Amino acid sequence: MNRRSPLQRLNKLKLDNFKRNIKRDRYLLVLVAPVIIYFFVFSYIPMYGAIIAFKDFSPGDTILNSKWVGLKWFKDFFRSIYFGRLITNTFLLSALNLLFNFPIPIIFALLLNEVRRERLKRAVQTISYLPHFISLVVVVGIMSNFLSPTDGIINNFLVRIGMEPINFMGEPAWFRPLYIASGVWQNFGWNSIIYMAALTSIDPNLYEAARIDGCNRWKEILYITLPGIMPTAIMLLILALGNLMNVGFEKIILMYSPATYSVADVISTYVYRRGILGAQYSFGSAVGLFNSLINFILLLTVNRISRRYTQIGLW
Amino acid sequence: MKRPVFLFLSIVLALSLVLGGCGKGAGNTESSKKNDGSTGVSGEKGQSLLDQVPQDYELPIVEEPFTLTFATAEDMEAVAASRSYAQTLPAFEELEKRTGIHVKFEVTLPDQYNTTIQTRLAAGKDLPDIVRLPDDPVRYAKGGLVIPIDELIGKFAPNILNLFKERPEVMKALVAPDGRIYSLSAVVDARSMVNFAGMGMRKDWLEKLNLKEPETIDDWFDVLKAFKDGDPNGNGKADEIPFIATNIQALYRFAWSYGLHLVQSQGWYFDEEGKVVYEWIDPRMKEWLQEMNKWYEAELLDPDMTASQDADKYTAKAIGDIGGAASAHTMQFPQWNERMAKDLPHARWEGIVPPKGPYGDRMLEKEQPTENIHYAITRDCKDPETVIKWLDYMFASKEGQILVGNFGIEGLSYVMKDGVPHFTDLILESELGTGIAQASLGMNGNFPRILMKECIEQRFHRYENEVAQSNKATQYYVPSFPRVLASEEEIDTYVGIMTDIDTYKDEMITKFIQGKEPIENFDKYVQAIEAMGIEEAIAIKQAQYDRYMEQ
Repeated sequence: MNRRSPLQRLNKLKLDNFKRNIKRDRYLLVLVAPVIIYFFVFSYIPMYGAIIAFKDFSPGDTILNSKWVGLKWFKDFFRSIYFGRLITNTFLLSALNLLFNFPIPIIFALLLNEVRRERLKRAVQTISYLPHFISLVVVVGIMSNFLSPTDGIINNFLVRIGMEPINFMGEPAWFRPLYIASGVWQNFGWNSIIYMAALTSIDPNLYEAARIDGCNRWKEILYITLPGIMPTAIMLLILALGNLMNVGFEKIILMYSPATYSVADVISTYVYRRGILGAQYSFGSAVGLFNSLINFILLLTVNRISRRYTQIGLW
Repeated sequence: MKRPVFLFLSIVLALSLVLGGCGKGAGNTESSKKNDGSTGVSGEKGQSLLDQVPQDYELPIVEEPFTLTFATAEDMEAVAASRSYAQTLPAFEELEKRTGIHVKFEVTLPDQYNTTIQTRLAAGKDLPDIVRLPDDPVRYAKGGLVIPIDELIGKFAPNILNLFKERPEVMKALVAPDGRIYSLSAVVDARSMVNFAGMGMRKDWLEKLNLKEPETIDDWFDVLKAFKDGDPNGNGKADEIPFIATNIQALYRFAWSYGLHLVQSQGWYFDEEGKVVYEWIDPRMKEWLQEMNKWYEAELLDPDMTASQDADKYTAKAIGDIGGAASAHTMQFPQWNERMAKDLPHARWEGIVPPKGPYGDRMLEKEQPTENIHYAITRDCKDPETVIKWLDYMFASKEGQILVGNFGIEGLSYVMKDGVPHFTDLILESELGTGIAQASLGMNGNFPRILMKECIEQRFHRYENEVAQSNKATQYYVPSFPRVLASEEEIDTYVGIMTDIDTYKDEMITKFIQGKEPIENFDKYVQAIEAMGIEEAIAIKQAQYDRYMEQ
């Protein structure tokens, strides 16, 4: 023992510490293991496949064997006359979606938090997140039935009050509102759960103290509740911004038609038509990679800004 | 502490398995390439294939028990009869008795099939002997996943070779750009003789309004207009939708009257000199669009068609005494009539032949001779010789055609009269309908088969009127633009150009018909498509067409 240098002793100490920590946290480590394995297997291992974006891959080739073509697929994509429109549509749809889908669950959670009758609160919460479990196919089916210009109830009503029927699903101007409104309807309840959880973690003593200081309900919300859920909200916002260029493409595929291409065609649907239906896997990966790159840059930027101004960040 | 170590070890193990698997895949490719070299020495091409004399084989094909694996999509009609190809269905049981070969089908539901098989093909391991490919065979052939079968046919498959001799167009549709054959497809054009893809309307409405069956495109406008204004369903409300459709493509059939081939040929056609034309930018297109816009403005067209209406709603209109005319296969109409029989016994949908256009054009594009679905033998097949013999028997021999392709088992589902098989009442009078009854025995599923005219005629024996209409329609048949297998370079360039052009074209066609884009801008539309590089796409199609004609 004595003969060891201080550095060695320090290392030994560190190692012991490490072992002890592992022993202490062994159950937690087991708990987290499935998640780590999941991401390793499904997110990290497949990453090497991204190199087909720079190759000319066809099924039967192995990923490593296929021919290198450099930036061919990227150039192809940038050269498409729809490149600008695709970027704009993707960005707009996503940004508008965020604009509505982000604050509404917060407001809903705040409102629900003020409800004092426990049973009513539970009932409202359950009902509001039920639509989340409806499949997208069904949601879009319901929409096209309700909104049909020939026998949809909305248009029947419009006709009855003496208005012209509107072809909602075939009208470019209606695509974005419908896409966003149905998304809000489907998800606001579900998304508010996390805020409800954040709300319960606020110390009730704070409210008591505020009331003694003469705060009304509105000021309680403003000075205690909101700051209390702010870290959660900002975290979710950063994550959402990091996904800005990923628009849920299943729903668009279900909703769009050539009549609404001008506002509805986004990067992922274009890639679907060309990469999957046209079996150009390399092209599809190239665009996917490009998309991820934008998302990554966005995530870094937003995180940095957030850390500077609010001291809250993902890392 | 033990557990994390164990986990780490299992991750390492999993990783090595994955990587090891990849290495193995690569090895396979090399070995199959070598194989290619040794069997392909003779350099036989598709053309000289017809001169070969294959050796006949005796039944049973094998003495030893032999199991063949075959990946394909489930037949939904069999599912409707609570059967599955995962079981051995009666027709295949009989086939096994005759050939000695047991078939193990690996089936997936049709809407999931392509995804599943694409993943398996991309992995390239443990492939079945025969696979229904998700698209053209060329891509898979290049990677060595599927093997060329032209030499095998030349050596061991007399019936397939006979089929190619009698119907060269079937072979031409299968020849890859390198001159070899990698796949077989079902031969289905017999159905277009009985069940043609045209249009139809409510004949009883015509009679009620004292109108004649429309002969010209102008007649059609008048008839549809009368349907709209004349209250043919007699409920006192103007709720009739003269022409119902799920999407705008239903209107493409009226472009036939302008000499355009938009349905089967998708707008690609050849002129008298054999020059390929892209008809979407043809001046005749403008006239068709003008007419369709006229129909749209007069509110004769289903307003739901611009937003991809779902099939249930469309059918509801057809059988709900709302819709007056539609584009459909002729045999769709009696089915609608049967569903309406209870509430509206007088209702009568009937198929009619396409109208004559302003310049006297009257035609229908004939269906392609083969289905655009390819069945190929994979590199993992241990005994291609036996497999091709089995395919030869079940696909192309007379007995095989009757057994699995069409009529099934003698004495059970058919009897022979005057040398022609006739369905028994088990099929014809089945409560399930003839198609499902047939499928429940394992006939007419997703595998290479030749549809016999007798089979489809007998199946539709009740619908004399439709059969008569179909026979009338045959005189207007024109061939479709031939489907030619494209090389990989052709596909890449073509898809690259056409994704944009198709997006633009679909959008503009819809707008022209809706009147959102004035028809005066048609020239601009043509210029835009030219600017997007249509010339290059035309050149590709031209090369393919020339290749087809040379064979």
